[in-house]
Parts: sequence; C-alpha cells; structure tokens
Amino acid sequence: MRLASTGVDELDRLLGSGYPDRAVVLVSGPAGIGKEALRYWFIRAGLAAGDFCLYVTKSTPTEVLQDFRGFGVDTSRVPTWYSREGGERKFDPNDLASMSFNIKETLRTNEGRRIRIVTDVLSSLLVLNSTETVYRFLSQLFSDVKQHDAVMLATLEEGMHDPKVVSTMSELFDGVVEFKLFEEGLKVVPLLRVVKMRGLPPKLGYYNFALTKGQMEIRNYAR
Amino acid sequence: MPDNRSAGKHIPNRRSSIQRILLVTFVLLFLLSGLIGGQSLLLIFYLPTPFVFAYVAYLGLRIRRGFVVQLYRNQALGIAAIAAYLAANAGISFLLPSPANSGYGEILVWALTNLAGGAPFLLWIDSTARVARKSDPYERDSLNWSRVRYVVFVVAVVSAALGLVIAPVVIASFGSYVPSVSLFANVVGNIPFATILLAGLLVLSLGVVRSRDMTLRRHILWIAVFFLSFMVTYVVTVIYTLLIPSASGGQYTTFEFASYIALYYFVAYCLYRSARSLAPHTNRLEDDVAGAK
Repeated sequence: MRLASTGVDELDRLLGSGYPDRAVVLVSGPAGIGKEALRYWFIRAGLAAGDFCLYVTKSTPTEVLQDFRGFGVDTSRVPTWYSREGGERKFDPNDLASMSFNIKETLRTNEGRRIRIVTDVLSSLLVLNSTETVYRFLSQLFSDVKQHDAVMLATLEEGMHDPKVVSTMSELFDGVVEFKLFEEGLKVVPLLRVVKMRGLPPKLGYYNFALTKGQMEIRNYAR
Repeated sequence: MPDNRSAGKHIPNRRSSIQRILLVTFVLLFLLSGLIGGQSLLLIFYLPTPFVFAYVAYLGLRIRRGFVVQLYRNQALGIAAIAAYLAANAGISFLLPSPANSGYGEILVWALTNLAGGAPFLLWIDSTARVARKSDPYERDSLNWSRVRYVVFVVAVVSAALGLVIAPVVIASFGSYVPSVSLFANVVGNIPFATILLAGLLVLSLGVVRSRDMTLRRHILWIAVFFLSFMVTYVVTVIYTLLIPSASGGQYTTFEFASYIALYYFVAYCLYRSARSLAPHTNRLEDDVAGAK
C-alpha cells in the first residue's frame, strides 16, 4: 500500500509513513486548535513530491496563502484552487452538484498522477445543507476519489455541529484525526489522537502537540 | 437545518457543587456585613476585586496557551487584557481618592487608565470579528471590517492622544474639581472607548448572526452581559459623581457602596464565563486515557 506523507514527520511516524492511498481523512476539533496546519503541510508535502494538489476553500486563495505563511509554509509553489473567488473554478456551498462535477473532472483530467485534495468547506456544507444531503454527496465523492490515485483530507469545526453529526461524518471517513483541548489542573493542553486509520489497528492514546518553526512536535501524553 | 445547540458546550465538573456552596456562603456573608457592619466591613469584600479580575486574566492567558492559531490566541489575550485592565482599575479605585478629591497627578492617572482601557477592548473586538467571519459558512466580511478596523484604530489612537493632551490642560486651567470640567473630561476621555465599543457593537452583532459556531455565540453572549453590567456600573458611578452631592464629595451610602461592589463581582463573573467559553475544553479524558494505558 502506497502512503501519502502528511507533511509532518512525527505524524508520519505515528501513522506508519503517512495517510493510506485512496483514503479520505477527516480532521476534527474545536476552532483555533490548528487543524488547518495539517491541511497546509499535507499540500506542501504533495507539491514537494510533484503530486497534483487541489485546494477547495470557502476563502480566497490570497487569504489561504496568507495563512500558509502564518504557519511557516513555503508558498513558492501553490495548489490548484476551487474557491469563493479568484480560483480556477468557483466554489458555491449551495451548489453540491457543481462541486461534485468539478472534482470529478479534475480527477479525470489528472488520471495517472498522484492527486491530493484538501478542503475546509465541510462545516459550511453541513450548515447550509441537511446532513443526509451532505452524506449522499460525500459518499459519491469518496467513491470517485477511491477510483483514482488520490487522497483527500477534510477538516470539520466541532463547535458548529451537533456531536451526532460529527459522529456520523466520522463513520464515513477512512481515517479520523481528532483534536481536543484538555483542562489539566491549571493548564489547557492541546491534544490529538488518531481515532481510526485504514490499515492501522485502533490507537486510543492521546498525544500532546505544539507548532514550532513551521513544524509540529508530537509527544506521548500521559497525565 | 441541523441542530447544533449542544455543540462545543463546556461540560460541568464535580467541583461545580462546591463552587455553588462557596458562592452562596459568600453572598450571605456579604449581605450580613452590609446590614451589620456598614461600609467598613464591606470594604473587606471590595479588597479582593482586583485579585478576582487578575484571576480571570490568568485564566484567559491559560486558555490562550491551548490555542495554536494566532487569531484565537489574540482573542484570548484580549479577554486577559480586559480583565487585567479592570484589575488595575479596581486597584487604582482603592488606592487613589475619587477624581472629585484628586490632585493634578492623580487625575492624570485616572485619565491614563481610562484612555488605556480602549486597547484591550479593540484587541478583543478585532480578533472576535475575524473569528466570527471564519465561522460564517460564506465567510462574509461583516461591514468590511478587514478595512474598517484600520479606521477605528486610527480614530481611537488619535482621540486618545488628544484626550491625553486636553485633559491635563483643562485640569491645570481650573486647578480643582469642577463638575462641568469633569463632564468635559469624561466626554473627551471616552471618545476612544465610545468609538471602539460602537464599532464593536455593530460588527459583532452582524458577525454573531452570521456565525454558526455555538462556542463563539456563547462567548459573545457572556461578553454582551458583561458589557451591559459594565455599562451599568459605569453609568451609576458617573451619576453618583456628577449629580449626587454626597457622592461628589467622595462619600457613598452603605447601599451605594454595596451595589457598587456587587456589580463589580457580577462583571467579573461574566468576564470569567466569557473566558471559559472561549474554547470547549474538557477535563473528562479519564476513560480515554485509561484506555490508552
């Protein structure tokens, strides 16, 4: 099984070299905890490896690139954008059919290349559409992704959804990385854990992490 | 539309019942002190207020360390700075006589404290407006805040600088406390605050409607209650200072003093709740961690 580097050395080690091929991975957690860092580093690793990278975003490419730089990610190479404005194709959260068609078209056009798809629109889609509609849309999309040499990474803002919705979404993905803020005495500690990942045995342990100099440091967490 | 009301809610812990008992005891002692001991006994309850605000500031900084994204760190820092400012304000209120009985230097300290108060509020409003935008499914730039923020910033800084120049000149010209001068100084001194708060009120009202993040909505709700109680405290203080002869002479009645302290605690409580609601952190990992071991 080929693996796609996450862009974070320590997370790669944790997952046994990266995300599995033809997998869809969900990163969930509260706002501000740094989920986006995993998106940026995954794209950076893909661009460095010469993969075709597609970034589907509700922001503009300029704003996302500004965030990239904020996380210390090199922006000399950029992905292909589907965005609200300024991208190769326009993203409209109310038009799932268009989004599905565009991604399918991209997958077809880049047949034969390793493809990485990253998106921050999942929470918006779930807010603006019913859970059933998004579930059906994602099921179809994931089926298309898995027919190609592609890996998809999506992030979900926990604070925007009912826990049941988060749980339903988690079931749909091959891999789930969960972020949490844990109150330990007088400290609030950011933690992550790999809830599930295709091809790996379940890992229940939490890891403490910190972002430093454009990298992520992950340590075993024990109270 | 999906129901997300329970999303991101902080789970109460077993310490809550002890905290409630302590709170009720504290309130009862406070009321009893007011009835029996008058102002001198109530002073005991006033003394901890700077420390209560200082604790909220510490809590804000503690939560800030949990965040990884700079924008959210700034939001937590804003709350910590507001609490620190109020701690300083409460401390100065105790150490310095009221402006009515103050000399030139003391009034300058009062003016500086008032003018400095705008900065933490601006930091919090700016970061919260941007956080609200991030949790809007359409990521709309409410009231063009990304540009308007610079205008608000310039108006606040320029009016604060003018206030610093004008206030001492006015005070020096009159030499002593005059109600009309105090009113003038109050108006000039509050332009930065008023600009920031008005801008914040407009942009955050729209932002909170557009945002779908329940954590943010809860945070803003507590801040709204905080502002309301803060404004009540402020208005009551100004009315006492300007209109009631006993207050302008620096003498409060026991009831006035007790109300003032109670409001201070309520303001601190709202700020505490808003700080805690910055992020849905939990202290219930026991099962998961045990499972991991």
